[in-house]
Amino acid sequence: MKHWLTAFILSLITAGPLQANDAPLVAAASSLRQVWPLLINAHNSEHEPRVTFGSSGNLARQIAQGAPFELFLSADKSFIDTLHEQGKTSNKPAPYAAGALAWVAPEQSSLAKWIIARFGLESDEAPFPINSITRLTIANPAFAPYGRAAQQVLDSEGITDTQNIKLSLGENAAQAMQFTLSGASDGGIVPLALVHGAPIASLPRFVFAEIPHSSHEPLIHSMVLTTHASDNAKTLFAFLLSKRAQQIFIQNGFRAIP
Amino acid sequence: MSPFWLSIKLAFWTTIILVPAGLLIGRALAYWQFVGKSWVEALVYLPLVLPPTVLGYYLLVSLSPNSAFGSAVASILGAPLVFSFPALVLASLIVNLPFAVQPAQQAFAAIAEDTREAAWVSGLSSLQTFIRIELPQCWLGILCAATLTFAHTLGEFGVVLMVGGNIAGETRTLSIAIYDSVQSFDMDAAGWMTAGLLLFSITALAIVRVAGINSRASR
Repeated sequence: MKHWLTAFILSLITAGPLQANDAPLVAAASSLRQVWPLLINAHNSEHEPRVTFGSSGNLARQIAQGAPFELFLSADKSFIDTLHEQGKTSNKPAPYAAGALAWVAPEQSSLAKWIIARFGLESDEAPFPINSITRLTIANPAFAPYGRAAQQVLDSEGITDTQNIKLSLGENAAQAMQFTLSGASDGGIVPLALVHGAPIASLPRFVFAEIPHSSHEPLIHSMVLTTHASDNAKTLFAFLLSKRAQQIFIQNGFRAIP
Repeated sequence: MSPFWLSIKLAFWTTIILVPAGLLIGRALAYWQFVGKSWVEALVYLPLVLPPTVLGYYLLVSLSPNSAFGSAVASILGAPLVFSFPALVLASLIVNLPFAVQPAQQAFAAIAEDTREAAWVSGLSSLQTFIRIELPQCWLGILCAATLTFAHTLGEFGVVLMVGGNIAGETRTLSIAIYDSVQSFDMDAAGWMTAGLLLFSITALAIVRVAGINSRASR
């Protein structure tokens, strides 16, 4: 009992700044949530990285404000360029994957009917009017690259011209996915990479369709090492560019880098 | 360190530092009159109405190494204060100030002026009066302040997310971990953590209630 108490009190007293830690600290775009465990498994390092997921814009902002991340996996290149201008990067950024989007909607919703008609998932369905849809979810275009691309898709479909559609904005792409699947909206545009592994089996049935990449500007995921990068972070950087890692990306909802 | 222990650690440090401070501030507000007192009170109670994001914003901007103050702090400590556990403690101290001060202030104000005057007249110094007469009558208020501060810190979310950055083992407290789990569709983990936090909070508040009732009954 006495030992336990001592250990407990000692653990409470260790409140210093970030302890030296062999596990590299990684900031990753939330669209990587599903594929990340597969990558780490394949990497099989004894220093398993500690990862924080979020929207690329938010993570870049945190790094600019002094967050101790060592490796930043963004969903595009623009946020990394900004960090480079601010002197927070320590190597040349490298593209590691290309992203894709998908429409997702609950099976019985009007959006689902529109998706089926639009993408020809069932033959001889008459085009379904989109104006019965009232709420769509995308990630926030201001700081999430997948949200920005989703907005472009909406624009290209002429959906934002319709007056009565309200957009609910996820704080990052994964939250947009979570909003969509929770039934909080009629459906939305989410990363294809999150559709593949989502626990759709335990939820009401959904319809999804991959969006052709001509509808939006390319989502070239880029990564960079920060000024805090340790050797373990550099090893991880190199691994993510390897053939094995690239294979895992393609198998899990990403596209080959053009 | 697991999110649970991180939350406990944060609550522990906040309570340990804030309760004595709240005690002294509460006593000062109860017994002293001075120019600008209402402004001081307003400042103390401001965190109750201020959105946590406002506090998070000001802390981020002032402590970030991009600012003059923040980089000075960083060079003294060796690392930036933001996105670290000490940053959470700092934010927590500010956010919980009203919870530590208010019960203490009420407890001190409830002591009859006559009692304190009788103590002084009997020859006890101010300090002796404080220790031997005032504190014993205020212990319930102090316990209340400690429990509220501890429980409220466990539930902190907005400030912790903004100032801490959700770093595993460093700033990913239980409330952040719940949020994170939901975004990963790990509903089981989120469910367990939520239930645990709920149980803990109810128990803590019940203890305070029971202690209050018992002590009143025994007088």
